[in-house]
Amino acid sequence: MKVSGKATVDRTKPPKSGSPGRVSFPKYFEKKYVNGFKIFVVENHQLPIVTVGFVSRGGAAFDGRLPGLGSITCELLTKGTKRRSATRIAEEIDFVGGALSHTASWDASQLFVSVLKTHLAVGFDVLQDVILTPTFPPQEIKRVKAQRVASIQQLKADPGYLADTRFAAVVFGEHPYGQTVAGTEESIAAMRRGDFVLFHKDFFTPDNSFMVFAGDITPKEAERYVSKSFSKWKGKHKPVEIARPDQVSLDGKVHVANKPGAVQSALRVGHLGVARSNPDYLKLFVMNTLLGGYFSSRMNMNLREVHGYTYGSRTSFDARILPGTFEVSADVRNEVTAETIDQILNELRRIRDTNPSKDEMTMVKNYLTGLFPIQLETPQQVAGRVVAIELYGLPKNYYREYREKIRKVTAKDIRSVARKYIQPENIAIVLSGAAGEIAGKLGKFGEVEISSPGDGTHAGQRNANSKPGAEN
Amino acid sequence: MTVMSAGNAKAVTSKEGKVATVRVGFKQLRLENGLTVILRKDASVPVVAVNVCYHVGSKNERKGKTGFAHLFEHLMFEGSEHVKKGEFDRHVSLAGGYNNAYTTEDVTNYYEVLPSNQLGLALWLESDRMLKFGTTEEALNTQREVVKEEKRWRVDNRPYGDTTETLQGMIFPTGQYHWPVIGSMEDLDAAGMDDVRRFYERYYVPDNAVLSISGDIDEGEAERLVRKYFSDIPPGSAPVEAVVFEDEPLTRETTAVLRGDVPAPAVFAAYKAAPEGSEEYYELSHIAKVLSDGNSSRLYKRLVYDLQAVSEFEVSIEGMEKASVFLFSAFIAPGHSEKEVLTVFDEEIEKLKCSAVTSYEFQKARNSTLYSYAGRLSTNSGVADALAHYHTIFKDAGMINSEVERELAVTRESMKKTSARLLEAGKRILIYYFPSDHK
Repeated sequence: MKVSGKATVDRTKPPKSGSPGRVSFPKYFEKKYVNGFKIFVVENHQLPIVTVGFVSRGGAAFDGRLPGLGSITCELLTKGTKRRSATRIAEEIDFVGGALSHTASWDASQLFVSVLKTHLAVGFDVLQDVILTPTFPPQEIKRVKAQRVASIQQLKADPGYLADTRFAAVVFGEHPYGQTVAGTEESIAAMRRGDFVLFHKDFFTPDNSFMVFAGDITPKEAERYVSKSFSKWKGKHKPVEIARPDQVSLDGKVHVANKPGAVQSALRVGHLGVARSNPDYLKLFVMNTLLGGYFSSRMNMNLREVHGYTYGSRTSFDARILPGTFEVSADVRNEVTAETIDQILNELRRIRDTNPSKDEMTMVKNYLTGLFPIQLETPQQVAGRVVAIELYGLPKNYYREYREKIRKVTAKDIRSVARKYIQPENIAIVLSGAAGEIAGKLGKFGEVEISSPGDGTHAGQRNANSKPGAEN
Repeated sequence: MTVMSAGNAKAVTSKEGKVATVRVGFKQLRLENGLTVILRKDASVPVVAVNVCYHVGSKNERKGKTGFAHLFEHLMFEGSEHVKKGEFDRHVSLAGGYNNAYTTEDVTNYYEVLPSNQLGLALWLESDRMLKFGTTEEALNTQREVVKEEKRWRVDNRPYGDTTETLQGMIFPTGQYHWPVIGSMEDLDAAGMDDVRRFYERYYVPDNAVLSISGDIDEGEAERLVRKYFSDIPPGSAPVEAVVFEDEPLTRETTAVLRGDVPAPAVFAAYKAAPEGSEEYYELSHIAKVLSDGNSSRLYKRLVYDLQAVSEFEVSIEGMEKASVFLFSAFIAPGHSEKEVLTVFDEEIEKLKCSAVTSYEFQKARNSTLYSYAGRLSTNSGVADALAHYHTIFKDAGMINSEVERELAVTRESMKKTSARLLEAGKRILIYYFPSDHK
């Protein structure tokens, strides 16, 4: 049955697009108090939800001899204050149907509360309480430590985790970045109450922290909350220097974290990357997107769509306050492990050796500029960008100029940053997989060193971000 | 054309008094070929989400041909009459958007999120692959490998990865929910071009699909574009028959023991219940909250806080079109046993049967429900997906506004009754997962 009377549609080519809507990075409120504490407010009244994010610049990079210290300190804040026990904190937040969460990364320790607007008073009171007056009760320390050890043991069975931790250890050597955000069984056992108290005292100070309100709230309301709490907060941060990671001379070996019986190899190929403040960052970001940062990227097209080796592969620059990593990752079946490494190295050479085509440039730039407003739909997404500006000291107009700057990146820029920041001839090849089945074919890439997950593998945090074109 | 409701989003006051949720206004129409179209305008960001939901999932497959709906989802990106292999993703990227798809037991869902001036492109792309079969043998061969890699990654190479598959097979001992969505390697290997074409011709027709659009659109212009690209697509040669769902009730406790390369023992207990959207489903959703939502939940207090017996645990309810599964999963901490953990769980279930939850706990579950419904509407892609889902499963897109009230109709007494009726040890599936070298 055909529906009659319809004009024929020209389906041979895509329709012309209409005129684009206006895109601008939303305005937000900013205020600095005399004690150094800063607040930001991203106002958006579409939904009756408010998220408050607290950011301390005390990240895992400052864990020192105790990997996991910042992360566990952050968790312990929510386990007891002068006015509230751990149970009471949980009860109050759960009762209003909201969430109190904490997360630690290399660069920051963060606590969030997200609640319906009607419950903001309760949510904010709990948040300020856990940040300003934590008590680190000994019985809670015991619980959290045991819990963390159990989850690290679970993580150690994950092939991606094994590959990531090995990769970080190979790339960073003794530098703190070669450790792990979550900690190790040994470091956790060695932590004492005083370590947490000190970490909180040193890094959770008004001049080393800031706060972002996002959603159904006005600057006036936010200020009212802050004036009763954080504006009177005392404390001074003493800066701690951390050495810049150097490109440790890679040993040219292929590192295999052995997982007998594995049916896939979790591959991580890469080396030292860049700091977030690197002036080439945006060019690098475009280059990385073209290379392996989105579905239509070279790496994914090659490994998935042409060869069917993997469900998906990606490349990323994990840019931190200090230089992080550049890595290519893919999980591939055992039989094609060596072939995949060949293809990865080919793609890394190709992006250095020739300019990308005009077509590739148009596509990647359209993709990134188009995606920008899509990634600003919610006030929480906007708040995430505000955090990036503040944490990494980006120019205030960074996101207002973002699309224009991306449009200006040229094919020559791509090749030049690729040559500068990607070194396929001095690269770490790391994988977790069934050594017995795959090691035989890996010798051509270097001496194969097989380790079993038990023997002192450094642990690190997986930095999987599947969101399209995510950029911090 | 039926207009179900119209107008922009406005805040409404629910029974909770002060707690506001947000009402989504939309317009719905049906083309002559049977395609249901839902349009929702929200001009706050110049973005549009386009969602096409086909009412076909793994429950439309049969034994020996499993994994088809999902394999097909991959093939739909591999070219249609006017969009060559590899071009689909290119067009979307060039337009500054992204796209993806997912397959469940019940539906296959495709979506694009784009700058709002690119609505026409999404409709051109989606209509072309609804219009005519365009898959090649070459694409089939590549995507078969990609899907097998997806299965290795999701299932075979992941600690405890085969639990879901085992559980699904046991809790649905017969019928269309028996096999996993991703299918079996053998069936994927056996999939030929004829199978693929037949599947397409049967299910990928406008009268078996919903198109929902949410974003910064002009409704009149959006409707014109939809009609332009979709109205000449012929309907299926015969109406898609509703699945006659087969299943057997569980009559005893069935236990399975799995072993593998896992770091610690784990235990899973699963109960079967009525489908998504049923009273039972909402009651179990409340019960799951009381047991495991947040650090003040009953099981968190006992298993994590008091006993330190688990490294991680969860109670969840997974709703499907024809049934739902209430699932307890727990990963055992060093020095504790799966028996101890299961005993605690069973004790807590008994308590739910004997006395109603406290009014404090009850209010807590309601507040959590209100919060999560409010948050779901924060993106256009979330709204478009919800509208398409509600129409496909319930033939009522208006549930985007009314479902929260259905869920809030649960009472303390109904939670107690449902616990007593459904959470019976004599009708459940138990799975123990042990490290290979365990005992």
